[in-house]
Amino acid sequence: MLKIKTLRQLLEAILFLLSSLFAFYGLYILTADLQDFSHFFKMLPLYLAFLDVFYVLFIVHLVFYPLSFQKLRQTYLVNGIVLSSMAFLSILFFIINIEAKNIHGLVQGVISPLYPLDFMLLDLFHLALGIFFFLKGRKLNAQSLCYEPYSHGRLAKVLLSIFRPFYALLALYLLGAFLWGFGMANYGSDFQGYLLVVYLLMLLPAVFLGFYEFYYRERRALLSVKKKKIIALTALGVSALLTILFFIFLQLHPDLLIADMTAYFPLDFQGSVGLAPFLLTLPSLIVSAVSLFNAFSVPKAQ
Amino acid sequence: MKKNITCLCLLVSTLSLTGCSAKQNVPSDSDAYVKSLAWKDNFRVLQLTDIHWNFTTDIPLQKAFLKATIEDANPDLLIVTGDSTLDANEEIVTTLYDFIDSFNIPFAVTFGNHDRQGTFSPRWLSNLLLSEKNSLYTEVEDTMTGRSNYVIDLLTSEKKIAWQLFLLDSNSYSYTGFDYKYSYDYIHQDQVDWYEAQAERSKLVNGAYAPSAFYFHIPLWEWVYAFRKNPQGELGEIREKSTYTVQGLTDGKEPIKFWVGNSPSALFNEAVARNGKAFFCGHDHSNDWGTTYTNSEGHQGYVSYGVKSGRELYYAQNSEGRDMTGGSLFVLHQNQGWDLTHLYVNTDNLADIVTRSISHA
Repeated sequence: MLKIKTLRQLLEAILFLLSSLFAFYGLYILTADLQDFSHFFKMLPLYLAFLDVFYVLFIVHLVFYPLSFQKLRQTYLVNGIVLSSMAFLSILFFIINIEAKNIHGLVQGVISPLYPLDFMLLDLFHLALGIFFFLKGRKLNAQSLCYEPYSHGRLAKVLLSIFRPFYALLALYLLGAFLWGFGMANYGSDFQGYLLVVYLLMLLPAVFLGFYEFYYRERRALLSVKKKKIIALTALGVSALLTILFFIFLQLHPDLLIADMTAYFPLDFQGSVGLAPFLLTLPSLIVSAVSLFNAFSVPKAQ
Repeated sequence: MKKNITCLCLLVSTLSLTGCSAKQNVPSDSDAYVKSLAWKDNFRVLQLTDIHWNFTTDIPLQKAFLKATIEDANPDLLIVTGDSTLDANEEIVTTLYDFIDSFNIPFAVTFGNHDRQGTFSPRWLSNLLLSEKNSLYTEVEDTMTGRSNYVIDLLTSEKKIAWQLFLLDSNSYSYTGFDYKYSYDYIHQDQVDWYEAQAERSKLVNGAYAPSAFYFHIPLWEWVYAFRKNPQGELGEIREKSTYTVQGLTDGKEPIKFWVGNSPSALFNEAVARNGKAFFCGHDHSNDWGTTYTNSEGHQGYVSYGVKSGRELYYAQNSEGRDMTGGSLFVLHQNQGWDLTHLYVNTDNLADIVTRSISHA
């Protein structure tokens, strides 16, 4: 049982890392199209292929933490159909664009060395995976799995269903930016030391998410109120310290982001809008503040 | 407690020390900034600007466009004034500069505000430009603002400087505190000081200042002053639809259609006092307007946008219904006069090229 749990966590971690690389690169490609989406039809199969990567992570997560047997069966059936449909459409649009000479051949390159062939092969994999999920759902028998029904009220359920995916996407993007950054960083920059804080802020959402999924989730019922408060306070403390340092450094060197981070935040510098400071700091602060609020809200008797 | 304070001090010192740079103070008149080409009368300089290749670009089509533009202009020198790529990877950037290099025409590049937006490091981009066979790109490890600051001397057979062509980094953005918008940067005083030193060098060589032209990406405030005096201009049009405001420039006045830097630069005034003839920029895709501007000291120079080189990102059509895409050809004469021609190339029919020209004695 322990071995399966470790394998599942490893699989989710690998999928998360892969998705983060795709998230960052995918946003770059989308940003190039954002001016007027005049290339939308040509890029559509690629967008679908990217979405499938995140979708697989999403499905795997739902499968590993089902709310009930019915929900699990639904997860397999519905998401299997959607995944294979998206993959099929992606392949179809690739073929149409190649025929229309919007894409110059099966191996045009540019996006990746073997584009679009490599993405079409990825689509085939996702198509097969979607069919597998669907068939698995049809054959699924009621099992004594560990189900995690929602313990929140309706309002909390709605809010979580909106903000959790947003936070996960942001964590994916920032982790992807960090990983891609090894090839993009301005080594030898005047601001290298100060950027350490920025890199830590980029990692923080993924660290919080990983901590929650791999440690806190299964232990929260057993953890004492005191321990929960310490964890929440530590998270908030780290977020706050990094945020304060970041804004101090930004005041000392206003060119900090411009000199060395334009490659990390393409949306910001395409539209000349300074979102990066808020994206780096607010989500982690909010999440840790909410966890602290929850920790203090727990009845003392627990 | 003592241990914690010690750790904190060590951390802060480490952070501050890792900010130390290996850059050096290089003399502004150093030859390290100078490239030379042989002068000939009617020397042809083609400005390409805002090429903006990106992940969505139809590269074969845009290559054909650039080929048509370059072949029609038949230049002796190509100058690319920034924003060559935007949201690009190494393959896109390499393909572009390898293609430009394939014409076997000397070419020089200065950076715009978007050139660093890609999945590659700034050092990789610099090394690529330094390695291209026909590239005149120069980057000195100095403390001067910006990276692409250098000068091309056009030398006569007697080693006199017939013309100087200055390439300056107009830098990219400026973050002015907690405002959510970035403003555009400008050509800083240390860059102007560098220009003055190089102009003085030409005076030492020639006995008088060599005539000079300037290429950079973001327009100076002088474009706005010039427009207010002569909105009609001498060549080209303003077709930008949206407007922009800049503190200190548009206060109490109409918003402008020039996306200038957030501060005035001393470049124009210092340059026209030293035989500076013409100033060319890119940045605002829907403008290719230019005119002569006379400053408060009575010195004058021609300020002009280039013609956007390709349809990528966004472009405009002029009052004749033609795409404002192509190049800007600056022809230099022995007598320090010049001609300027805007080439308008139709992407849908590359044989359809129209030109509009002016001459200055």
